[in-house]
Amino acid sequence: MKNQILLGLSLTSLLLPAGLLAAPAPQGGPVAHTTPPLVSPEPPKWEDRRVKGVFEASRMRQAMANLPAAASADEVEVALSEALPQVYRATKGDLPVIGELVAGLRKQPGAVEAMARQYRELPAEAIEQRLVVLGILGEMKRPDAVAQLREVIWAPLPPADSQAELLTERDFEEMVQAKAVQGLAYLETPQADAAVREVIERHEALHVRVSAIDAYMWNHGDSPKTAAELYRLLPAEMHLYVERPRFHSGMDRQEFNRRLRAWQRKWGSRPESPTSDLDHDGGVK
Amino acid sequence: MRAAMNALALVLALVLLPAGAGAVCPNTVETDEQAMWNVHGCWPAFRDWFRPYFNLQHDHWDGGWGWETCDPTQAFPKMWNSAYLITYSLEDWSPGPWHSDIDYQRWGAGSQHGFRFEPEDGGGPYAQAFWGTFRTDRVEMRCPSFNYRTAGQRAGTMLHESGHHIHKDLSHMANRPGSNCSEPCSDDWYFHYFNAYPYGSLAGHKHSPVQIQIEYLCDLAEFGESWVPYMIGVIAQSESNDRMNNRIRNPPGWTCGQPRPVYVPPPPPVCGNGVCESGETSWSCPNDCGSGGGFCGDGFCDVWQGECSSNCSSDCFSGELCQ
Repeated sequence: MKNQILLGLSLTSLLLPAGLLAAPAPQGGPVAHTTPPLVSPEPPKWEDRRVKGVFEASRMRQAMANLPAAASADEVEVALSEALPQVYRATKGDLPVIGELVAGLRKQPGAVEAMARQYRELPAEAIEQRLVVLGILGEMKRPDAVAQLREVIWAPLPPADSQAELLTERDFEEMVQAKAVQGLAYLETPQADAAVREVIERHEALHVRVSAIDAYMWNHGDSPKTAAELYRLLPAEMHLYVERPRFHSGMDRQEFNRRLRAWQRKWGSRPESPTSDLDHDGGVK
Repeated sequence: MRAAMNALALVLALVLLPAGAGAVCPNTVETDEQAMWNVHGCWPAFRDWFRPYFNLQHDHWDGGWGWETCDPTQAFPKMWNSAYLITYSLEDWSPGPWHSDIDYQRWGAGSQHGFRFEPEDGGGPYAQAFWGTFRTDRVEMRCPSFNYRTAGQRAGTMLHESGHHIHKDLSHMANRPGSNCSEPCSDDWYFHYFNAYPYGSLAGHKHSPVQIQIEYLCDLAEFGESWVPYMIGVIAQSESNDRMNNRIRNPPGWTCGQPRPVYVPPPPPVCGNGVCESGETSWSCPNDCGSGGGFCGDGFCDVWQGECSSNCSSDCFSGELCQ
């Protein structure tokens, strides 16, 4: 008993200074509010320090140039094994070169099957790469890709289980399916349009349905006729997703704001004041 | 007695263990992380600035986290990549992103809001913000934010968590029907128009944590500099839209980007070439578009010209207050 009391006192004396009995301890540091250090608010001026030669456009071009006019899926796959790693290293400024790759693949009969094989070989957690491969498959605008795209879109989703800070496997799979829907809608064939409308009507995930609506509208020129078609197709609670403006780099800002204002008046509640009544400079509270 | 002494020794060992001596997250190799690293090539001047500005401290990020390394498989260099994106990645031409680099940089700066970023070798959420009595104000960056998550997504997480410190009264709220959350996890959207306030003046305008994350990710996807790795932009757009649909209670009313499978954005307009191009205005480029300026009734709240809700209610909502 005496030992237990001594042990208890020892523990108490050790833990109290660390505040462990009062609240969960921070990891790996003293429990004290630190005074923000005096730091320069201005970062160093940006310098172009890019490592040259990381993205090898010539290698990608050569792989495509080596293909015969009507290459088999196997032959295209060999070329893709050279080209896709370059795509993964590309920057936004390299997009025109990726456009060349897509144009080259579009002409190859075996390209859809080869891309589908590449997609299937990617690990599930390689979401960015899956998005990129599906994007290229869709941008090829090949009607024979419908089956491959539908297979992705209708793959069973994991159950919803999520919290704000963490995206789950389901979120990522919904992103992938939304990318596949973009490819399907981009085909603009009667068969593909019907397949997109099926997604709009029946898909289990709100995000995938909403993405399908947006892609369908965009590929039909955002016409009032298409909007009317979707209003007929959709239940009332989904109507607010039909005519949303898109925030993108080529937009006209006044047109964007005009459409956003129109959307707000039709569907939105009065916007809340964006002005905070808090001390924005933060500090210890 | 022996058992008690052993227990005491164990407690002593745990309590006195030096900071940073614990386990670290597994180092993982990601193509996009290396691509991002190749952009700045381990630039020491930026490292020396961002460490104190974002408030990452040596005693937390040393000891296996990569404080001194140029190895982008480790956690600290990955934070470096994300801080670099927050600081430099956006084209700030007008009409450009929702907010500018400097807005996001100030928003995410731990030193400006009294908290620090620390690594944590646990799972669960990407990151978590802590504050209050008997606690160090901090953001714990956990292993899921370092493994198989791009520098852009991590930058969004940093801004999200910073939002908790800036607006401590906000919590993640109840779900909206159709949300894919199984527990309370949706934020409110604090509505504002594009360019509702000029670049550099985001401070003081309330944004929920998920909202600032969505706006940043969309800006990164649409207005990222030409050196931003392509894959970072692709998933930034996807996550922006996913969060808009699945993590916001009152839909924002817009969508991020054009729904084309591979979208090649047009080059920004060139002010001074004598052509009033799409995206240029008399305000942003009077040389090309004339100097007429905005006017009340043009559907745009021209705050830089003194428009506000009391003198131009047709263009400005009540939140757009007069100075």
